[in-house]
Amino acid sequence: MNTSLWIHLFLFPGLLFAVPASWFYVWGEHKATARIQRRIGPPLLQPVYDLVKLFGKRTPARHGIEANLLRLWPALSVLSMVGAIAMLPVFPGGPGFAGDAVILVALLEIPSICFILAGFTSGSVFAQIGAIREAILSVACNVVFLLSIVTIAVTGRTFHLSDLANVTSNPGHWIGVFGILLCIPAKLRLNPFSTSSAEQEIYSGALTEYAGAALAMWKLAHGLEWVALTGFVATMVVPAGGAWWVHAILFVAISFAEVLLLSAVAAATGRLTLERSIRFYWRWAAILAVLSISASVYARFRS
Amino acid sequence: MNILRLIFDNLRRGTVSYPMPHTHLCTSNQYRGLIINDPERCVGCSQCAYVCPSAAIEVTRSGDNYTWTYNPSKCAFCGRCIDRCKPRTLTMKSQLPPLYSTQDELKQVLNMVRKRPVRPAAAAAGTAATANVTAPIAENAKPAEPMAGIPRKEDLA
Repeated sequence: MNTSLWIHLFLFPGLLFAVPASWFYVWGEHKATARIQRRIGPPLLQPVYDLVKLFGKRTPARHGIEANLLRLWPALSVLSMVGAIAMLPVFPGGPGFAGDAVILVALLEIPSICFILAGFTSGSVFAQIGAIREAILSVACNVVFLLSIVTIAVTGRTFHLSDLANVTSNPGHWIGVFGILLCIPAKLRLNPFSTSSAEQEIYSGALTEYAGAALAMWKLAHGLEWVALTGFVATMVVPAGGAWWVHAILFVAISFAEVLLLSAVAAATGRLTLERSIRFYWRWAAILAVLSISASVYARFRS
Repeated sequence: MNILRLIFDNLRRGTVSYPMPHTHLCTSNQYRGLIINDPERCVGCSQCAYVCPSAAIEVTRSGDNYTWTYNPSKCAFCGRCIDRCKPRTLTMKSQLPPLYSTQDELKQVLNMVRKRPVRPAAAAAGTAATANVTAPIAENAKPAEPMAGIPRKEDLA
């Protein structure tokens, strides 16, 4: 394993950066929501306190394969998110390989799959309803998500993330980024697409039966999802060139700006029903994605 | 676009909540705070403990002495003890309770001596029955006389 890969995996944007960043982004989300609702909001270290508290809790004992699976899903989510964050092309000329965008997409999907599996593993009715909702919504938003990534790939003529990160003036690239941005609320289970983790209706869905350390892992995975998804968009819009530290600062700044934007949208909107959420993605967002990919393919074969 | 205007208005107008615990909040006179017992007036009837739904108040007896204990960490601040207290001994503070980190931090323990009931005839005759109203034991170590009409345990034995 070369040095650059080590740095990406364990230092920046990997584990050492990603975990504190996930706390910071979650705090930013809570703080922005609170300010919009005219509340003070939590202190900066609140996500850390929550995590420590959850890890210190004693939880009811479960036995057999079910207990192991319930611990496995959040752990798998955290690992996949750390891997996805490490693959982000924050610095120009970073480690990567042809087709690494496909791996990144696969890693970004793992938390959603684990969420669904956790819902079915727990045996709770609420958790199963949450899992079903997540599965249906995941299919709907992933159509747009994948088409958007393919649009960017067709525009950049590659599936290599470092090359995709070189922002072009092609409108197809920006439409693709916009499509990804549209999918992030559903992937993070934020309003208005939070039907799979509705606290008031189904007691947080798949996480109903979770408590203690396993729930803390889910919280961590969720924070890392924030870092990975907002970071992915950030790498797609940071202009090429410049020193490595400029890229790092822009990466964090743009990611955090996305956090604030998505939090504002979440605070300003109510929860849509599953039917309406699906209709949004299958109808409006999918039409946009199909048009953009068609335009990109046409532009490519024409040039 | 109303929602955007609402968001900007909310951001512009600032917060309406207070940074706890750094802010001392004003409460109304009817605020249900900590229970205060006046040892000068308490007769040790333990009705407060009897009606307390969360067992925050306990009264334990030892002869003529009794211990009145109040644990705010268990208290539901329902005010039933206030309603039941005949001599109007119990009151509620109208301020927020202070922050505490351990369960027994705000616990109040009063060791007192049971008072003689004031009989109308005795009161009229100006006897010293009321003179035996005592403060907590720490202030008045002198044992009180047994309650009139109620035999002691040792007498029964």
